[in-house]
Amino acid sequence: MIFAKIEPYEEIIKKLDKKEDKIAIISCNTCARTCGNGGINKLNELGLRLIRDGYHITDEAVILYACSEPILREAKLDLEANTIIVLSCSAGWACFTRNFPEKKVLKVTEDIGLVMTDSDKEIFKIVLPYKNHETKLGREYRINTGEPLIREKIKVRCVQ
Amino acid sequence: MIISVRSLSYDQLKRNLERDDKIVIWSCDTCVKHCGIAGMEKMIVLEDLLKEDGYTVIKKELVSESCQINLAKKHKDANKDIFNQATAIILLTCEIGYQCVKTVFPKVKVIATAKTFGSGNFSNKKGPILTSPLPGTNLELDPEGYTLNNIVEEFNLYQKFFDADKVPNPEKIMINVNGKQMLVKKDAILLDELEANRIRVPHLCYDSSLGSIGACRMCLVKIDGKRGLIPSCCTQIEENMKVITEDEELDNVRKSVLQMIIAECGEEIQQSRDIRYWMRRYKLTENRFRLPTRDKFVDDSNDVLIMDPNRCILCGRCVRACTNLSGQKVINFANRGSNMVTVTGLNDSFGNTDCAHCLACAHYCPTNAITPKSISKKIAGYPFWTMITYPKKIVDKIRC
Repeated sequence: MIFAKIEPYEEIIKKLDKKEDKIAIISCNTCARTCGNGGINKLNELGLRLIRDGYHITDEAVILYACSEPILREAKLDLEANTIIVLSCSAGWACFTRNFPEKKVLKVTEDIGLVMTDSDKEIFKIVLPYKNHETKLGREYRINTGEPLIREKIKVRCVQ
Repeated sequence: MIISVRSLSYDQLKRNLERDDKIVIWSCDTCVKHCGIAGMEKMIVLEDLLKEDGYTVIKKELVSESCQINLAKKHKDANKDIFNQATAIILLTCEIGYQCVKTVFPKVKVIATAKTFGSGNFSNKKGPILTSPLPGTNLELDPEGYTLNNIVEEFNLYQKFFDADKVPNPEKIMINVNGKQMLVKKDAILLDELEANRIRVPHLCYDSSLGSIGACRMCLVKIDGKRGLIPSCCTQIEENMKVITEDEELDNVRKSVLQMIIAECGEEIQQSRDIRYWMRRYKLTENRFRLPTRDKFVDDSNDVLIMDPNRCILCGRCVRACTNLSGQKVINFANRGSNMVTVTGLNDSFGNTDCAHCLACAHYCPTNAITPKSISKKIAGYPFWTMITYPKKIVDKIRC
């Protein structure tokens, strides 16, 4: 799985234009949901906040994988939308950028690393960190929220 | 998805093995399968190659998601006797899967066969592509992506599976199918070999990754010397076997079975892809049984999956996927006979179970009784929720 961290709300709205942008929000329901940056809850949270602040949201969708082209069509994007916010890792953002070249696709997350998960203990652990996040190797977080944990719960015995 | 490429040649793999090793082949069924270097088919190929070279393969273990360490532990616990004998585990997983398995089996020799390069997409034109490379690769983030060919050339690795290095040549025997001689793999399942030889036999409950239980009775064939009709998914091939896969009697039996399956569930089942295909194939336009109107509760409490019992044909694929591939044992059958149903947990709602969201059940369900949630909330002009995927019942429920 891939752990990506969502930017603060203030950073996201800096990239948006209240008058021009007709926004569609797409949320990934796999890795991003597990890591607390996607799924229906995060989509509702961001969508409602943007609507409350006067942004023009035309469409919201949750799809199983944002990184798979055959699944993109399930989003059934509103043709009016000219801006897409993708709540997923950068692979999901890349997929939308490639498939909707005429639209502005916003990258609102940053990849932290590839993670192993333990769905029973509801934690995930970074095992292969991305650039600038090497110090986070071995850190653990809570599934669904992405809240960092202090005590290590998964003992990994080997690093390749 | 995570992009991984094979990093070992077959000779290098053999150098890591001892002649008397008892080998387990462990494969992930998700990202690495889409990269073309894992899955049940690949495990069978590797098993054939190793057996041909005199190695002992004691088990093939397919795991729905190898990056979930708790699933790896459950697989170990479920097959303790076999894993206690194992001296080497060959992994067809990404590097995360390697770390999970190595943690769970600290004393066993674990051989990784793939290198992980980062995350990427599945592209309709190019197949799997790497878009977000890990720092060790010295590649930059690129939405257009690097194809597996690019990576293989750049890093001097291997694009295809081990059979690109050496073609497996398992022991073969001759059988007779519909009057024609056919060379097939010894001790294989009849249905697998018929499909491999492009003889299409209908089946709903069988998948080579899950094993056979002979529940749906759609794959019945005639075998010379055996009484009655035999389910080909539960039959091991024997030398000089004479098989008939198509004749009027078999067609009529399959038609009746299909009608009964549809009548058991109701009209909604006819929307399923597999059922529709076989209805067209057998020109089934009307059902001689009365179709019931089912209105069982559709469970959408799970974060990722929707379970619609109105579409369930009790084939047991989800039960086997959850037990054998995931190891979580969340889905099971309850009651007996005509009261039998598929339940989650201890008859709890799907959302209140230990579901690991590995999607194995949805992947193997032939009738879309379990589907991934995919929701589109059109805001302009449509002030209600609309489900894009089935089931329709939920759409109606939400609209009301």
